[in-house]
Amino acid sequence: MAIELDSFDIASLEGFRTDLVASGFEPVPGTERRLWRGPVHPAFSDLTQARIMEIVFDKGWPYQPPRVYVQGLTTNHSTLDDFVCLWREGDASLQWETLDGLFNRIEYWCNRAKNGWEDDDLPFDAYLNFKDKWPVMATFQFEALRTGLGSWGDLAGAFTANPDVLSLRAGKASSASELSGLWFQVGQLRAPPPRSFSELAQHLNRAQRKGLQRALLRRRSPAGLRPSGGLDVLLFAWEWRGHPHLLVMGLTGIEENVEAAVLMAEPNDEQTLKLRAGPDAEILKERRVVVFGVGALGGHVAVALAESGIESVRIVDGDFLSPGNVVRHVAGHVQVGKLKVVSVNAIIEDHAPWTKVDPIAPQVNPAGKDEIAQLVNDVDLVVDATGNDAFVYPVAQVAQELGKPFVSGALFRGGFVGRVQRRALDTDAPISNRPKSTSYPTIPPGNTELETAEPDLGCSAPVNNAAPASVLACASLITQMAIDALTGRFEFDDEVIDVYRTLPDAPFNCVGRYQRPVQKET
Amino acid sequence: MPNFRQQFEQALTNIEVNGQKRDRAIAAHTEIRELLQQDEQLKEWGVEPILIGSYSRRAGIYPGKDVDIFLRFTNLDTRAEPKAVFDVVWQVVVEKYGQYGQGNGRAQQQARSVKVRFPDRHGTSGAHGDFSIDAVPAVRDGELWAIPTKDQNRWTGGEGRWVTTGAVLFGDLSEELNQSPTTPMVGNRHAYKPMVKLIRQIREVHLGDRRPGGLYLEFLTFEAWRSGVVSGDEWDTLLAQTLQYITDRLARATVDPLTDPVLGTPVNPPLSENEIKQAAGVFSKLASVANRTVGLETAEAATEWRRMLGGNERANHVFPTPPNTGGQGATTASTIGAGAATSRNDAPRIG
Repeated sequence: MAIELDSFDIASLEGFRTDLVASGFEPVPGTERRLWRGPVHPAFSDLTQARIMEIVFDKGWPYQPPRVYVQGLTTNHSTLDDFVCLWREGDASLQWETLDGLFNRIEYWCNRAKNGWEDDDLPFDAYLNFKDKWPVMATFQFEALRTGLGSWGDLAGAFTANPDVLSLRAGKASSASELSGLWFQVGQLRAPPPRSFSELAQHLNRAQRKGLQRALLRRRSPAGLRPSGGLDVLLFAWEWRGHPHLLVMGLTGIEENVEAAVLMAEPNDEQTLKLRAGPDAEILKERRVVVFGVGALGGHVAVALAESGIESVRIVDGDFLSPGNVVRHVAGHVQVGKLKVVSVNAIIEDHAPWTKVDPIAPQVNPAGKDEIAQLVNDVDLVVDATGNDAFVYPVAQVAQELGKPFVSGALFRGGFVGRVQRRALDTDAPISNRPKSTSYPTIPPGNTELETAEPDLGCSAPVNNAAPASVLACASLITQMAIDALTGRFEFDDEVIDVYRTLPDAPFNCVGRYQRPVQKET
Repeated sequence: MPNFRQQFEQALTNIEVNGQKRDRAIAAHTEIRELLQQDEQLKEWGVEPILIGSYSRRAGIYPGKDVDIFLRFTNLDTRAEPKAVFDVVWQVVVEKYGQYGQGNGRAQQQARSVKVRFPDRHGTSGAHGDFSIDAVPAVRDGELWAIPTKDQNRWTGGEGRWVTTGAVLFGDLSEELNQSPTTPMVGNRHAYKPMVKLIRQIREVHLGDRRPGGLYLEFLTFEAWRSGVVSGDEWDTLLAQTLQYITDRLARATVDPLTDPVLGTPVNPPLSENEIKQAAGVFSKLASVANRTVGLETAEAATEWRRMLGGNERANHVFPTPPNTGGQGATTASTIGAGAATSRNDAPRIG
């Protein structure tokens, strides 16, 4: 008995295979019924002379679609090794759960192949279609290459400290260790993107082809992704319905035997990076923020604000990063021993290169009114993440007097409860009034011994034993309320309390967000 | 659908010979017929090949590699010498296909037949698409036909060089029984021939290389259905009754041997007493399981049918797991259904 496929739904798998048998398919011996072969679907008849079609099952059925292979296809969404790309990766439609569903998709695919692909129906991923691939990523500033259509130029590449990442730049190689290359910008394609090096030339104009030939002739060494004396790497860019697409190829062989394999091409210019900065990036770009305290909470908040698009962040903290901090801190062990503002600055530079950081490391917390004012008077939002009651009220007061929105967040009761307060609108109650107000619940004190870990050496405060998950959740809430205020949406209440673990006392005896039942005070 | 009708239909799909392969077998038969009919000597003897065996009766089960054909010689009878007939057939065939083992040769002599291999060159029928044609000379023997004895030493002798066979007529009787208005149907489908396949599959799973073989069980099924003791309109009911008949019949087969439905003589070569007892034991257990499972639609019932019908190269279990029963699957279908619905309705996730 063959080993059965590792599947989540044996019933539908068996049903599918029975339908395959009924359609003339048979399992190929020695493949444990993973590979089936049968007559090609009639919808392919206008696209290939192939008579047979293969279907491959992967473990994870039905969440993994069967792979379909048909020889002789020369259209988008098919590879030179005959793979027919029917669904985008991560597709959860389960349309393939029945043979009818698979055949319907094949008919749709063939119809698109004959009549033109829609913009958003299937992934237009030339990388996947390319025959050979290097397990290497090529990074580059794409904007620098987006010149006129039909143009081309020199390219240079060097491996970064990570041997799996090749950094490309426009221009000639400046040292013997750099790879030499060419980039081509061809505009609209008249045929599907190249799936092998031999299919490249048809897309180039005469001048580009000549340039390519000359560079190829200088290759003296057949090794790939090594300086060969000639063309080592090339970047092929085109436009598709207004969007840029490209392939980066590493060459092997010399003279008549040059072949190419594609690299994972990932632009690292600011425009590309900001695609993941969230929908408020453009608004936040001009905002300035100061974050007091860049420990476990404030470090994550400062980085997340920068990642969200803020280009000017002042961070204030005089503490140093210790090994113990690293467990919950945004910075890692490589930053231990440095000022926290320095370590957070490094993380921001790494994650959000558009952000200018103003790190301030006072020997003692700024306590005087003028001292605090100097740090906040040129920003659009003041964030407090010190967790220090003695500091919150002075900063809140200064911010209020200067008309600066203020957001303060902290964890309580060993991280069971997180609270974020805002004073920005006239309707937001002053922070200092809230302990006396019945509209804002007081978080009851707990057993300090049970809710703190062993104290740090010396006379600093005991270590709050909050779980890292609570830290991340609270930091996220602080960041969201800060952005809410910076964008002027003010969709959050002026005080938000999240209960991560229940306390005995109401209203903290339910997990979730506490809903304040009364109107807020002014 | 009650009584796992859909699953039995799917099981039949999984055990039936690929339709394309059957078409290719017919095409191969045609090719050989045309070849033999071009030879003057064979034409003079009135050669008229015909598909025979389980392929022709549509009673074969997957993968069904060997396709039997009778090379009927309408102008010859048992007075002809088997060796003379066989030699001429062999010469014509080997000249066309070459001798197996020499280069790409495909023809090979068997005890009383000529085997010709037909590889599935285009692979359109899957990798099990290869098959062989087994061509046996046959001469007239009264109303029936006779084929050479397997003992070639007797081919030039007098008595016993030809063996009478009812194979051709059995094909006709099988078709007649299948189409008879009194023979049970399931839905719109004549049920006799599908039942033969189910019984052959069960025999293959539970007896394997042991005797009795598939034809013996087909004779038993034929006898059961022709006698009218099997009735009903669902596969499980019909199967349980057929298994019970087979069990009862095997129990007395040592004293009342099964007979060839055409010739009326005990099936030859006969089964030993031990072979009959072993088979009776196996089928008795199967009939018992079928009798207590019939009519049930539980996961346990599905599991019993899955065990009984076993698997083949296409499926570990030719009887598929019914949805929502869990069966022997890793997860119940209802669980998957809930997950799938969530996946379909959710907004795209960001990982």
